[in-house]
Amino acid sequence: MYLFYSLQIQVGKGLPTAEEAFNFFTLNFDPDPPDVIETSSRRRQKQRKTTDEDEEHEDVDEDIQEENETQSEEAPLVQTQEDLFVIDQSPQDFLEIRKAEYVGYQKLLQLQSELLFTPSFRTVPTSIKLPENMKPRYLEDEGLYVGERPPVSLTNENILENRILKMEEKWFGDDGRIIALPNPIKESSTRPPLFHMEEALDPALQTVYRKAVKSKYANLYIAGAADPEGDYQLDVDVSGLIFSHHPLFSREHILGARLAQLYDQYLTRQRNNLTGHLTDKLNGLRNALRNMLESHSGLNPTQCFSKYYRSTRHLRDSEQEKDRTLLKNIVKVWKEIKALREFQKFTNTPYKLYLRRENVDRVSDEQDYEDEILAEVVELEAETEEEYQNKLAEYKKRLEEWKLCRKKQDVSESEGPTDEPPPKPEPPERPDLGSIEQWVREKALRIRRKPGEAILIPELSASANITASELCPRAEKARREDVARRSLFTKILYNDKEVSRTDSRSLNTDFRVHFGQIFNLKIVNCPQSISLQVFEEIGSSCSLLAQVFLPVPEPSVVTGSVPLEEFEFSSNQRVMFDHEGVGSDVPLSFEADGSNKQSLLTSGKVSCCVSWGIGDDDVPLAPPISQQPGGVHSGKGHLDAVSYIGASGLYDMKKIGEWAKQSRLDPNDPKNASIMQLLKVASSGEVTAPEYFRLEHLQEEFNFVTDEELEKSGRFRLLKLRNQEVAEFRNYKFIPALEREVTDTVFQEYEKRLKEGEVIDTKEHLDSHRALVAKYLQKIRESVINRFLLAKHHYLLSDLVTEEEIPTIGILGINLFKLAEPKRPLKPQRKERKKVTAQNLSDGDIKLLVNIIRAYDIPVRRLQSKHLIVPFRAALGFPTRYSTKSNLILLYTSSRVRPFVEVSFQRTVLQTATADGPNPCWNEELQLPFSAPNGDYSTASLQSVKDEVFINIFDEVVHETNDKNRGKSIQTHIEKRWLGSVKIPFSTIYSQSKIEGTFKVNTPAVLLGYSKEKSHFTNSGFDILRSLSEGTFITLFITVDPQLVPGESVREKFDTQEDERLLQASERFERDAAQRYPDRPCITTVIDLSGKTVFITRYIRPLSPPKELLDEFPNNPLEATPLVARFVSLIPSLPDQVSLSATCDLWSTCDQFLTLLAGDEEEHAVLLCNYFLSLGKKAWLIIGTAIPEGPTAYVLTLEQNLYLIWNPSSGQFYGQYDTFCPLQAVGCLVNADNVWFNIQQYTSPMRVSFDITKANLWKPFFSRTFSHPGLSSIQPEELVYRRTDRAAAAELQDRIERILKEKIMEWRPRQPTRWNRYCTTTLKQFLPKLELIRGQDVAEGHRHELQSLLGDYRISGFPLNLVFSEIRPIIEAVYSTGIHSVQASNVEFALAVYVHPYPNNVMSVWIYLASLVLT
Amino acid sequence: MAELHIIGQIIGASGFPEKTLFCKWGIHTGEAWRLLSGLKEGQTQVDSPQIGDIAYWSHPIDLHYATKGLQGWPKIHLEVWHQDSFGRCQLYGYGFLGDDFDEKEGGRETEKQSEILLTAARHLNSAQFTCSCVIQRIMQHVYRAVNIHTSI
Repeated sequence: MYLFYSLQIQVGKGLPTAEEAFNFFTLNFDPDPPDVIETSSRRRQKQRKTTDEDEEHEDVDEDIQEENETQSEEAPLVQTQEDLFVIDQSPQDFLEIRKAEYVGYQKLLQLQSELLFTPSFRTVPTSIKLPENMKPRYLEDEGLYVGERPPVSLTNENILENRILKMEEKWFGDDGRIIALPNPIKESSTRPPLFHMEEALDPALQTVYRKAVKSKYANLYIAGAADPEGDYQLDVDVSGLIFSHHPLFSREHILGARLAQLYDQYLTRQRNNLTGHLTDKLNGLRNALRNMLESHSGLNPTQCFSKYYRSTRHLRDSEQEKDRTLLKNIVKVWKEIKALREFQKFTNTPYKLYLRRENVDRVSDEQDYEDEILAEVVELEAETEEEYQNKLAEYKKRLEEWKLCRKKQDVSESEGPTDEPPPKPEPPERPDLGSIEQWVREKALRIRRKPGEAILIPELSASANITASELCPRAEKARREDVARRSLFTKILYNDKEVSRTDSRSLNTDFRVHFGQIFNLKIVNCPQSISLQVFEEIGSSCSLLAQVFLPVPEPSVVTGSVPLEEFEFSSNQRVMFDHEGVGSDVPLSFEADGSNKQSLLTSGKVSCCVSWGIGDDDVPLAPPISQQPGGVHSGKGHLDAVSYIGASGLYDMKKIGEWAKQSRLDPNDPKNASIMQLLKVASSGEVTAPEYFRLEHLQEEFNFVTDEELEKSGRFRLLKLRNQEVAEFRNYKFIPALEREVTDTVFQEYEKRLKEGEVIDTKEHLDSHRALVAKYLQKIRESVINRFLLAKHHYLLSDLVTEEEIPTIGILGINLFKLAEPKRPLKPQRKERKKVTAQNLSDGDIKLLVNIIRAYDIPVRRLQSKHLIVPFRAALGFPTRYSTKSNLILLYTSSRVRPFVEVSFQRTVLQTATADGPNPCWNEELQLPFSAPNGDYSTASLQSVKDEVFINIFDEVVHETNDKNRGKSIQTHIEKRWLGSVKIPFSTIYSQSKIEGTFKVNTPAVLLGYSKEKSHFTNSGFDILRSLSEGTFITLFITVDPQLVPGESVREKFDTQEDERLLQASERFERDAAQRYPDRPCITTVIDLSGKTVFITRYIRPLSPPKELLDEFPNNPLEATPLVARFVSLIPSLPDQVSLSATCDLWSTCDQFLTLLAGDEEEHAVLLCNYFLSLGKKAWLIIGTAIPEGPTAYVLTLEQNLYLIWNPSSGQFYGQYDTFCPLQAVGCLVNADNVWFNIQQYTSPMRVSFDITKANLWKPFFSRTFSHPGLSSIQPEELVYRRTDRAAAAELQDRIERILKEKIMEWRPRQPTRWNRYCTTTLKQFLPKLELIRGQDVAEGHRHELQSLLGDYRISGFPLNLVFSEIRPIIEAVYSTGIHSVQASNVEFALAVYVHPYPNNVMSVWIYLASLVLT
Repeated sequence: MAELHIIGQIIGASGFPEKTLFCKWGIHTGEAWRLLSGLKEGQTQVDSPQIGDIAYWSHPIDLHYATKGLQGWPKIHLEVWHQDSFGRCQLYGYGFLGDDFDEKEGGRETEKQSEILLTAARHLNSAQFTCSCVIQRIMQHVYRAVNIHTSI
């Protein structure tokens, strides 16, 4: 349609384009013009309106019609159902055609102006921008530094200001402008411009390829000297040297040198003109002081000032004095020279001193002089007066004190002399004002020119003629010859190595040597020291005169910019001559009488300079600053400040100060803040490096994330926790790559666990003791887990390298032989399944196969008849045959039970078909999916799976009830009733890889409404054996598909206190056993709770059971045996493998076991064995395999030539020849003295002889060759029992009952749960009796009693006997019976709980559950 | 926030006086770096080659670092040890691979030691080491700096 529209417009405009023409002819569109549709739709609407009216639809609301009228354009086309199915409607009927909406531009603007705010671009008056009643303040005018603002066009600025005003935010500065940072753009580009893209580049900018070269110098050298050509160059300019004393000086020379020196001094003083400067200053100060005194009559503010004035005057006086002495000295030395020349009659030095006089106006000079003196006198008088006044005041004060002291002493004189009386202060002397003037005049005479005296200006010239040698006396001649013979040169030493030397120059008579040589040193080492050695050469021998050390120049010091500097040197060599030369270090005197002796040392000045060379391109050939030794380690502030302003290389603080002064840095400019700070520190004279040392001192500046952010990151935390193998995160496969994908919920559980670690929650445990124990167990578990986690990282070669075995000829031969074997399809042979390693598994790969084959002796329903009372006789003690049967019942048995099996595992519940009769055969395979916790299929994880397979046998009962309302129809209720269960932990299946056999079903002691029957129709021979034992049995085959490789035990060496020899023997014993009989378990050493290896026999020691148990049968201790076994079996069982998540068996001693109240079969067996021993029985520990536990420990007793096998966890015992004994294989027997390993042909207890004395059947560990070393037991001598508080038991009983009732009601959310109180009380009476007979059998009488009492109820129920550890397993056991799932509307329930306390907090919990349906 | 993966292996060593060698290694970083997972030090097995001169270890290195700054890039140090027939171990050489994992020589000890070390360092030249770095999610403004470090 749309296309058509556009086409229309195009056509209207002009000719169509080629494309449009093509579309026109090829595309298939509706040719209907839009106006036609428009009209047709309108027409139809009208039609519809009429039809609406015609059909009189009352349901159609009138307002819809109104809507249609008003907004006919938007109204739906189809109003009624009928319209939709009108056949003759074309597609156009379902489409609505509208014109494109167009809003006029003006209107649009208007609309927009309502919605949008457009800031005006007019200038905003300053008054609006500023807070009220405030005048704009211009910081720049006030002299504060204001950075240059970045250029913004006025319009833009106005717009922005208007907008900000609208937003009402504080963005304006004091001057009414928007706050802005200084313009960050640099004035000049830092990169050279590259304008010529095509043309050849400026050769200076040409890129040069240089191969990367490793630094060829060690760290001693200047690092970064990558360019071998551009090594650094040090220019040493040795200009010359002047001796200020030389051994060959004559006396005149000495005086001459002195004169020259004094004259130099004079010249410098003259140049500085300190005296004049100070005099001016003094005058200025004097005027200021006078003004001040005139304006302020007060004294105090001027005191400080006058002090300053006084010090200035002192300074001026001393300078004046110095000037005067210097002048005097010059004149004196000159006079001496003249005297000497006259005396020796020849001249040696060219010095000549002229004294120029400058005459002054005598009158004015005198006037000045007098004025000066008078002013000074007045000032001094004032000063002394002031001083005197001060002293006087102090004197008075002290006098007062003294008087006070005196008075006190007078009072206390009687008490004896206490303190020395302070001396009486002397009154100050009044200064003699008259003497002041005299003193001032003397001083002026001494230090000042006399008034009217001409000013003397000395001028030294070297114009005197030196007397020729011929005219001199012989001694002088010899000296001059000696001078002529000598010549000098200097050596240049760089880093104490001679690198160059100057030419040798002869010594002139004026003792100046000119070298004028420049040495260019190309250096690679860092300059440590540069020195010059001055050598003197006489003939061929030369001697070292002196050494001059030159400072290493700063990198900014380059050749050409540095003036020559003079370095003084001296030597303390003693030289004496027999001619006129005065020598060195020789005392000599210029006085006639030989006094005032001086000894002069050879000394002089070298004028030279050291600087860095300049390369071809005006680049200083200086090493970078950072390599400069010294000055670098002054901290980052230093570095930053200087390099920031681009004044690198200025290390001298003074120079920086000067530079700062010259460049007139703005102290307020933030850019200069650091250097200002630096200068401030420098001027205070404390430029010290920071006292700490930091490796990465710019770390903070370069961080792009803070520590907190790094810690906060969930992803990093997750990664870390996974790496640490924290239980919750150990098996995380993928960690999100993005931070936002990590949710906080991930950590919740972990954090909760951490928080709960410290708090012991007593509420959850019903029993505070157990809570503590649980905590303790948790701690042991964690420590052991940590050890195993460590041990898991110790790999062996076989863990990493899997080498396929190379087939040998033998194996090949067997395989070949197999090919030729006849095929026997009717006798299939078991094939070895392929084992799958755990790591390449995932969810859904593993299935648990449960094959339920058949069951025996399932209880049958009792007839709901009051007339039939089944006689039933209880059998106590050992299993016996049922003696009497009721034949009547037998007729009904076959159809009175319809059992089926329900298998539940990991919330999957599957059930078999329903079979018929007490001995059903299902032969059904159930597949249950298995998923590992957290999707982790590692061995350790699979071992720690705590799930159990519940196999429950139910009876399906069908009730037919007549619904009274409906009359005719019959409703059928299907009800399932629990008969018994078998629990098999997954860990057993995993470690055994398959479980096969006939298991005893845990049936309740009493099943209300059911009775145990004996079938007479069975005729197989098997039944004879089976009948030896009573109970219900089920034959099962359980395995895991695919077969999993069970984990290996941890190879960790544990600490031990056992003898090394014993350990070796035990290792050998176990190895031998494993080699010969790999399927027979053999244990000689075990690990105790503290993780130490202990020999197994140490665990066996007779220990007496609780006294209460024995007291029940005071006459016959043998009777107590089952009670003791029951006590042991009531201690909760907790497999180590599950709790400790590794194939490591920890054995606790009996006292630990009783404290923890938890342990696995071994602990139970050890305790039971020890009890039996104390009862005087012969007892052994059997290490063997049983179903369903797998490798386990049982107890063997010998009673009246009959061997009995006890299951310690259930308290059951079996005869040696009992078919249904769960013990399948006997590995070894243990008692306190020895360990015997089964070396018989068979392992089944039925076929094994337990006579351990026969060495050909049982291999003993300790034999004659290796006798028992007398191992002491680790068990305590005696077990201490605590009586259990009956009140606590009663309380526990109430709590369990309350919780269970709540739970049952909770499980029945849709139906009301009624409790039959009468039944409950009756049931409650049964429970203690059941405990008394240990649930072995029940007295029929009670049931009949119940039956008769309840009359018309159809009752089904059973008591459960549980070991108390926690409340959760109890709830689960109740839930698994499914008693709550009775659907009948008139059902009632009965629940009775009884807790029987045994010593040491061992509890037996009985729960009687019953459902009653009124028939 | 930046992350760095160091994945590589210590292949082997050759040119030492004995062939029965093993290697101890460790990775050092500045304080800005945090180890997220992996082991930062370890020891290879002892390889006693019967054929050829090279003792092969093929020891994997797999580390995951997070960093908040760029200084203190990881350095790996290697020590090659010899185990004799009595099970005694003796240090044969050691060396550092610097922050760009470029090879450098170690040794700044006293004069007597440095001679041993120099020979040691010469041997270590023949210890092979491969390594690659994967850098994740460097923030924009530091990206260039990181490139400089890793492009070597």
